[in-house]
Amino acid sequence: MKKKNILLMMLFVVLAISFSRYENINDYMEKRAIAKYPYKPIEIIVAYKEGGGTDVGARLLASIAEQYAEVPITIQNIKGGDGEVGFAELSKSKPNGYTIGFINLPTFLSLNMQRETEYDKEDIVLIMNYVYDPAVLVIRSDSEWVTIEDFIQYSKANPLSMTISNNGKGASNHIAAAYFEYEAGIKVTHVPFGGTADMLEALRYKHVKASVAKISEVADLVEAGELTILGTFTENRIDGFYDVPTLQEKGLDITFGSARALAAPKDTPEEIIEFLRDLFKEVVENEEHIRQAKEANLPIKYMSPTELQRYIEHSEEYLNRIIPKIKL
Amino acid sequence: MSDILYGLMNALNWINLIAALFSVSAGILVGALPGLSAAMGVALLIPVTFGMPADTALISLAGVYCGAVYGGSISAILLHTPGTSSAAATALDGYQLTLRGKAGKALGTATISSFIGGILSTIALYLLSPPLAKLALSFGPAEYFWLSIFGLTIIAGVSSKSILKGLISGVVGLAISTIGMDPITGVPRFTFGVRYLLDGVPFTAMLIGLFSMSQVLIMAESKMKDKAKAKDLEDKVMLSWGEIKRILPTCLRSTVIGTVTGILPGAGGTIAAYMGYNEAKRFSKHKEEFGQGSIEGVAGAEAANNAVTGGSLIPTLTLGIPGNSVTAILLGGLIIQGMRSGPELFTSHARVTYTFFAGFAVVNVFMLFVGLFAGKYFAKVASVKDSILIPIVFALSVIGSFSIYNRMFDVWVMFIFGIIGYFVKKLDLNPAAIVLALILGPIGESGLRRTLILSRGSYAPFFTSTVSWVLIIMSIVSLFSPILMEKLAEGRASKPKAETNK
Repeated sequence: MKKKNILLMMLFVVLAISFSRYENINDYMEKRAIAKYPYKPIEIIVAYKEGGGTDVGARLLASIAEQYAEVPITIQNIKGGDGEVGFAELSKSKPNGYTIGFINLPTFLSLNMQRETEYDKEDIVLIMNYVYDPAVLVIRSDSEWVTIEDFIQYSKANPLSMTISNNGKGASNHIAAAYFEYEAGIKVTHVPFGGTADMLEALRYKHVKASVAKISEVADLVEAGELTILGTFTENRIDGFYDVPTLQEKGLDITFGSARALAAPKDTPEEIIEFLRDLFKEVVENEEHIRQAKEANLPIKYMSPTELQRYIEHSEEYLNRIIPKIKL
Repeated sequence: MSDILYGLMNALNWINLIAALFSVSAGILVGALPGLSAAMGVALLIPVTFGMPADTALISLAGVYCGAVYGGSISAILLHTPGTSSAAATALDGYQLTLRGKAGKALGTATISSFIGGILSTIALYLLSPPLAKLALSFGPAEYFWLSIFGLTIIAGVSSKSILKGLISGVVGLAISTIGMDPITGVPRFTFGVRYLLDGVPFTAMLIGLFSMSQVLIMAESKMKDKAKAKDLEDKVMLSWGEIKRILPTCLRSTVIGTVTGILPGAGGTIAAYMGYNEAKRFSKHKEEFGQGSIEGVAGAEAANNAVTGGSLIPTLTLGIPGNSVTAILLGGLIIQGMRSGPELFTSHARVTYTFFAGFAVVNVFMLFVGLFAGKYFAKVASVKDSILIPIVFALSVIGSFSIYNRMFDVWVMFIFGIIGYFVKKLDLNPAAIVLALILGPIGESGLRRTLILSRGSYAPFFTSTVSWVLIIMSIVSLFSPILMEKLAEGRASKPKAETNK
């Protein structure tokens, strides 16, 4: 009996020691990992498919950031569910700084308001805002309307016969179009399509009469003369499109656009977050980056984490106000 | 024009040449191995093409497609076991030639006529795709709805064995296509809270399961036995000028048959090969040789089934309606590369598209040389034991499905569809019809609902455009085509008899 007790005691002591040591080692390893960060490739999750706007921007950003980080930075496209699959993947990734990702606003927020999603907006830490792409109202250049006033007048005279394509029910362009409809006091028919490319195709091939898109998505088509912008959803006129009036000038109090921001999973060590914030701020200001972004039609708009946080709170409040109004 | 030239030059880029050579060799290997099909080869290759540039990826997929269709003839000729179903008609005369010690002649004929069929169908691809893509411009939601209906009616014709089984396969495909987010309202359907199903069942993983893993199960089930070994060839794999001249008219005729059959959704290489064989016999001056070892017979079948490759790409690229299971999988590869079928392939993606077309021609040239110089070695590999083949395909299926998104979920999907595919084959259902319905279902559904949104509930827009009416009439014709085909086949079969009676 005694022998057994002694043996049990010894086992207990050994276990206790090893556990306490284990904890210390864990702690120590974590600190070392942070000090050495980054020592292996960093992965950026993009919640949309290859070749899309978010993807193009992410790849450009990664190619320049690699030079600063001195480790490879790769893009992982995890598409699906209007972005939900990728956002969920980001929020559930290991918070060790080696997986970060893009969140697309307002989709990241609005998905959450429309259905139960597998991520929570509190599951992430912000790094910076990268791109802000303002929304615009576009028609074909051969349409019968020349100004926004004509457009609104026609829509008022012919309720529901104005057809506006969007990139999916409840997607950002639909929210923008519905808000415009509400403010202008008109009734239109919203036609959802599978994505931005389909939505613009429907407009170009005359299946619908108008579309609400982001400026970077239509800039080339407008410059080629195929499409015309009737109004921009911005406070000031857009660079390069100075002759296009803002909706605010026409008495419609709407601003809308989509932003793409970098974020990391919640609980990523503070030191690593700081490292990434500094790193990407430098990258955005890099001259080579600015040149290439201009070539790729990317409307870069850097926002610091605090500015971004304010922007998100503002958008949320805005969405909460307009979504009930426009009955999505 | 400059895009066409650019494509030609770009296809001759060394990386694209290497891709073409490797993929066509891999394709011939897959085709020559009985039990492995072109669809399986292409499905397994898709994950590999992920990291490649779009043009290289597409050329590789085309290489495996063309190579496999040709490769089937090697084992058909040397072993009397067609490597792919479309080579069954080749075995009729090809094996007879082998028995008479003229295996080299048979292989040479198969290689040269496959090349002629493939390269001429490339010309059809160049000439017919752009105008058809332009036609797609006039396709609105209503027209896409009818296009999908037309495609679905063809499913009845796809399965030559039984209309009922074809329809059951179609319904299975349509049912699977409803999984995922509703295309109009975005509401998740039948996803049971699994977020990976929001965009539908992962397509590539599902195809690898349906076409590869199912075959592993079928092969593993049957008793492992040593396969017949190919004997060494007694003659050279070459044809004389006289022989080439003799098969040339047959090749041209079969190319037309094959290309047209390829364009028609649903009809595939097997039907085209038999049609090409029968027509070759009908027009031949040496009818008595058929069945006893006629090089015209081999040419008739082989030119036809390789001409199907180019033809079948035309509706796939322009309208997004694949004609058979291989092009359905290719369509998946296209989407992965960020390209969509339709007019944009000839405007904003013109360079990639024309590189692909030129690469398609290059693939056929490589097929000719690899076939002539190394065809007999592939025959040796064709007699590899199932006990070696099964683990290889099994491993490739698992690795392939995992590597798409680096997640286990896709591997489980692959296994589940492997089991489904096993029963599909056991019950004699049609996997090609399942895949066709899977692609057509969402096109039809969103077309229907979008048209109704645009018209605010009126059904009139479905019957306003000429394109709609053409598609409606084609659907009706296609619905009755199995009956028509039967009548035609009867007519064909009775004719030779009538001649012998005389």
